[in-house]
Amino acid sequence: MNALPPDCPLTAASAGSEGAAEAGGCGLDEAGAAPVRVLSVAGDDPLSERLEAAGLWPGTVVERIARAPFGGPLLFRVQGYRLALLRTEAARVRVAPIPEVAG
Amino acid sequence: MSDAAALGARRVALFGRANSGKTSLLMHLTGSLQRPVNFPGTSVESIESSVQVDGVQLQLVDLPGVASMRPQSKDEQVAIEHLRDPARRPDLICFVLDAAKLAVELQLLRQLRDLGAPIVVAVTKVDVARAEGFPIDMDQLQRAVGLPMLLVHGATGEGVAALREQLATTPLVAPAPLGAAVQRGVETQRSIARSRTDRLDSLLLHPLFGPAALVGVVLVMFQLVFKVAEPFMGWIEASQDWITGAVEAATDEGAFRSFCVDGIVNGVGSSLIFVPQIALLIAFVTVVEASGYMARAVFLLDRALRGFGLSGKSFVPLASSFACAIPGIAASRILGDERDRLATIAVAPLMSCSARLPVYVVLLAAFFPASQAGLMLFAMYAVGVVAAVLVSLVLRRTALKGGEATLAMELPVYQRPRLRLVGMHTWLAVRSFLKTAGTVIFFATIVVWALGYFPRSEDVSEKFEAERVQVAARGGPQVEAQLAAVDAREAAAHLENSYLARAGKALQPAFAPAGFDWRLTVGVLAAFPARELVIPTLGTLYSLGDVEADPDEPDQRLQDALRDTTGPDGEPLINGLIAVAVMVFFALCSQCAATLAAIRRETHSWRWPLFVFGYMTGLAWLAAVAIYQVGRLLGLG
Repeated sequence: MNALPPDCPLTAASAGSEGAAEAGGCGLDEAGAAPVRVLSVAGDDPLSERLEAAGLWPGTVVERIARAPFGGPLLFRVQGYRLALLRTEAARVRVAPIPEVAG
Repeated sequence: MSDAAALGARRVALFGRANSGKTSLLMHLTGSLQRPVNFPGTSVESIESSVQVDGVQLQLVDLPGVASMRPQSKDEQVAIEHLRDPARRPDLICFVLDAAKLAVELQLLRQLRDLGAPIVVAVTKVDVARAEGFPIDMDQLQRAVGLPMLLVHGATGEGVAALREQLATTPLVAPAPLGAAVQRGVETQRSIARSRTDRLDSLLLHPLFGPAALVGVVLVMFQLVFKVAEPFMGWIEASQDWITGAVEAATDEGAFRSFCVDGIVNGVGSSLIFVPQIALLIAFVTVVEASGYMARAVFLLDRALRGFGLSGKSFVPLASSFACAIPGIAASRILGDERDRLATIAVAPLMSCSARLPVYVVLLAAFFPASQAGLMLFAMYAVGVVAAVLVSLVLRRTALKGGEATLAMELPVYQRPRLRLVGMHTWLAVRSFLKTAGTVIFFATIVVWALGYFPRSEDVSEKFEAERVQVAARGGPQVEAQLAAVDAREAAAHLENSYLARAGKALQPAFAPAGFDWRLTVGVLAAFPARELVIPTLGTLYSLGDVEADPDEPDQRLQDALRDTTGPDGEPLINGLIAVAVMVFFALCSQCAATLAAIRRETHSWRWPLFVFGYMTGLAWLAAVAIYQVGRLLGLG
């Protein structure tokens, strides 16, 4: 397990995270293995509704627990359960590191 | 309150997320899963069941799982509409709350309360929540939610009696709106560092071990379908032979006997023969699904299948189709995205199903040495898979273009599958198969029988009768065998004179470029409603009397006849090259009326079954012609 805080540019406009760049943080797809906190979910469409319904609310702590091989989906722990997301889906979720939780 | 309620009946809808344990709860509530029903005007299937409690008739319906009150898939839409439709609205909603996902469940419950319908909350998976390190404080939860709330245990049925009582007696009053306080996340603190599921996942989702384990699971599935099912299929065949013998003993030679034996017994037998494979397959898929592993397989395979224009969830329908496309097509319902679902349905029949196997086995045994047969058999399966990939890629760039890729799915906690649930699912699937395939294959068999039997020529009968008299008069030790040979030639002569053979001969020019002689063309025609009809038809055409299609012991006589029958020029009618063309034709062609009926049922239009039939037949013909022509140019065959 990666003990370093997530390697994510704090203000850069990340690819695939359209509309949320001004909120800071980075896309959930780019976050590392350490837990991060949700800032916002970009967009207003069925996908953002699904992410919302899945429990990715602002303030929620998300932790990546697995990656499928060859750039496949990512697996996260969120709201106490395991949620698999495509990288494009994860990119919609804007997250920021949690300083004191590192490791 | 509805009329039903006034008469001492209550309509109760089980509502909740997918995987919240609704179906097994329904099973415990009523003791059985009585009938799967289609919601009006949809292919969305659900299960209804009822039970009597203290003079109240509880009519329960298991609604499709939803993620939120804003539906995104057809299933979700059906569930939400069922709650809103004034005509079908339940008297009471039983909200099934998965304790292991408390925060998102409370969010959904909040939205559900806004409907104003009475709600009873059944809390499931408290043990899972504890094992995952998020124990539930029921008293606190009860106070916060302020609705009738009961603990139930999906595996043991613990607490179900109390829930049943509550559903029958709870006053039908609208719930008060919920304060905002409840929507507190449960993310706070986990009581343990790693749960059993975390440990299993670190192995089963490992970049190396994960895919290896997946290959193992798929191999076990194929073993079940092709090896374990074999003896059961043998028994069905043996009973079919026994019944045939009994019918033949009880009836006179003629149209009626032929109708009973070749029409009815063969028609029923050729759909029953698939039941062992389908039952084993569904049982296995249910076990994998209920254990929580299926979602992991989808997770691991998603990237690879996306490359082919499919989705990780296509894995289940496509793998099932190696046994039979009908349960495979029904399984495509798990695909949330409509384009993914249609692409999966369109290519599922290209997976070599078990009805193609006897065709491969007979031709391989006749024309290839055992050392090459295995490789050729693998090649036939590969032909279907490669074609499926190409067709799916083309579809996703044309008719099914666009759409954003979606997955967003829960990977559930690993659990021991419950035998009762597995048995119930298997039985429902077998019943549904028998309903679709049983009727369609049965009638198709009878139609093919009639076309192959009529018209009956008196001249032919008289000619062979005269020959029989001669043979009998000559006598000698071989008389029995000689008489049987005459009978077989008579059957062949009648078949050659039949409507089926006339159609075959008329179509012969279309199949000549693939090297098929008219007999093969008739076999192909006979196989259009159902592939399994090809072996008996070829058997009759090559003058063998009745030939059984048994993948275990392909009839030696049929192999010899296929190899030895020669044309007017003395050249064999079939050679290795033509055999490959025939096998590839069968691998790619859509010869199964029941599959087309299943596609019609799942897509609600004739467009898709017609398209599938058209493209597969075209593809099969092109491939067979290409193989024969290129092969001849290369001097093969």
